[in-house]
Amino acid sequence: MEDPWRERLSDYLDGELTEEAEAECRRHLGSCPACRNDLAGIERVKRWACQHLAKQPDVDAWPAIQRAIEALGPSSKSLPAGSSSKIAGGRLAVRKRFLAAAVVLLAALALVWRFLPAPPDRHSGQTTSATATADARALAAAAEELAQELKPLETALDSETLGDLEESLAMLETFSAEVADRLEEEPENELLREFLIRSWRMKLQVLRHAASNALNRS
Amino acid sequence: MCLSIALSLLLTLPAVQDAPSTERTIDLASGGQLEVNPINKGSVTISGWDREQVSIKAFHSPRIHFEIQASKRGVKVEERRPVRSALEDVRLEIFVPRETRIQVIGRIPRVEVRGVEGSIFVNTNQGDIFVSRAKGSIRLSSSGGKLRLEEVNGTVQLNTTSQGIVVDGLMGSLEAETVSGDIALSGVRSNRVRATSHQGGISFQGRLDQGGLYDFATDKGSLDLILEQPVDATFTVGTVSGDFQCDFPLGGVVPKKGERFTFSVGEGGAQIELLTFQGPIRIRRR
Repeated sequence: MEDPWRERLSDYLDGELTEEAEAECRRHLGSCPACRNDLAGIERVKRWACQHLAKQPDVDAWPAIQRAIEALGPSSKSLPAGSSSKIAGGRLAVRKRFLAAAVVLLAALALVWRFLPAPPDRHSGQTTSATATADARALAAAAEELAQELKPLETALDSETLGDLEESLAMLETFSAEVADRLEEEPENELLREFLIRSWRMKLQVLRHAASNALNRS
Repeated sequence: MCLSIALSLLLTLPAVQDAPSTERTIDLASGGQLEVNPINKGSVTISGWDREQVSIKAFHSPRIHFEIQASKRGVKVEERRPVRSALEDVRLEIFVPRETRIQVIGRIPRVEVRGVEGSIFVNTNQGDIFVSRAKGSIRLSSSGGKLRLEEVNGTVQLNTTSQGIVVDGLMGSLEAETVSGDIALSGVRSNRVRATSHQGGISFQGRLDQGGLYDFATDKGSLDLILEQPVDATFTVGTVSGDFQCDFPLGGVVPKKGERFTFSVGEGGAQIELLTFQGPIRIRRR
């Protein structure tokens, strides 16, 4: 049976419980290591989110991630090789939880990006310098950090919202895989590359909004 | 016994619905902030008025409590419910000075904001959001709620995951994104529009601004543009497998699937990019 206090931990942390409920929650935390652990996670996420999402929307990690995606551009070698879609798709079907999808997706993307060859320079046709590589590393690190930080948010979203998000991520994942397959056949097709980048960007936006929604919940 | 229970219910229900359970009026200077956070279920209606006061009426059951805090910065309204209790409908009716900055965060309430000329930020998990006769910076986001704007002037960002977006009457810039919903834009006078959907179609009806930038992209849906005359625009079109129809002459350009192609109409002032993966693209005169 699910612990009813789990979904009230965020309220507790925000001081939104009545005095009586707060005292009861404190007593419960004294005897429940799982809730203590969740509480510590939520605390960590909120700190991280205040820093990255809510307070500084223009300097958070997301624009950097998006820029990095655009700067990198998918290469036909990199996409299906680690196949983020296959990894994420399999676990989605089993776990049926948005955050599992989010975490796996981000981790998989990080894995793929880590091993990306430097993208071709749009003007010279040569591989780019350290900038793109540094962007790739920064992107991978940001995605890994995000994946870790998003985990405790699972308790903060209602089931309908989780369902919506999971469905959207799965839809985008399927589409990415479809485009990636087409790109394998037509590696020079710029239009396909653009659609792939767009689908990645939209996935990240979905995750971003999910994180914001989770943090804004009651 | 049954009769007395029924009578007591009848007596209780109208009290919750018709008379406010919580009512406050607070002075607030123009340019102040109203924060409503969080509202779980029901509806929130915020209207701008010409007084420098905030009027709050909340209709709810006795199990719910509203905490209202006033400071120099603004007014904060918070819903409190007992721990472990089920979500209950509440109805909030709030009037604010027109130039108030509004922030509403909710789980599944329907949120409506009208006649406000400060900034508006609304985020819901599932509730629909409707903004009308508003000015300023407007950011609406929801996972499962529909977004609708009418007669708005400002900088607008709209984002929903699984529902549609409707804009009817906008002057200003617009960014709209949804994963699985449609985006319908009409009466839009803007020099910067970006609309993106994965699954849904996108329609635009209106006049293009000379020098304006317009990006429309959908993976699975269709793109429909109905353009008011005169049209002076450069179109860049790309579709992987969708059909292309256009009422305007293409100047000898032959559309080809899987590749971008560009053509100009009139003096070519506005820049329009249209992308679909598999949906059709239609450009029509009005």
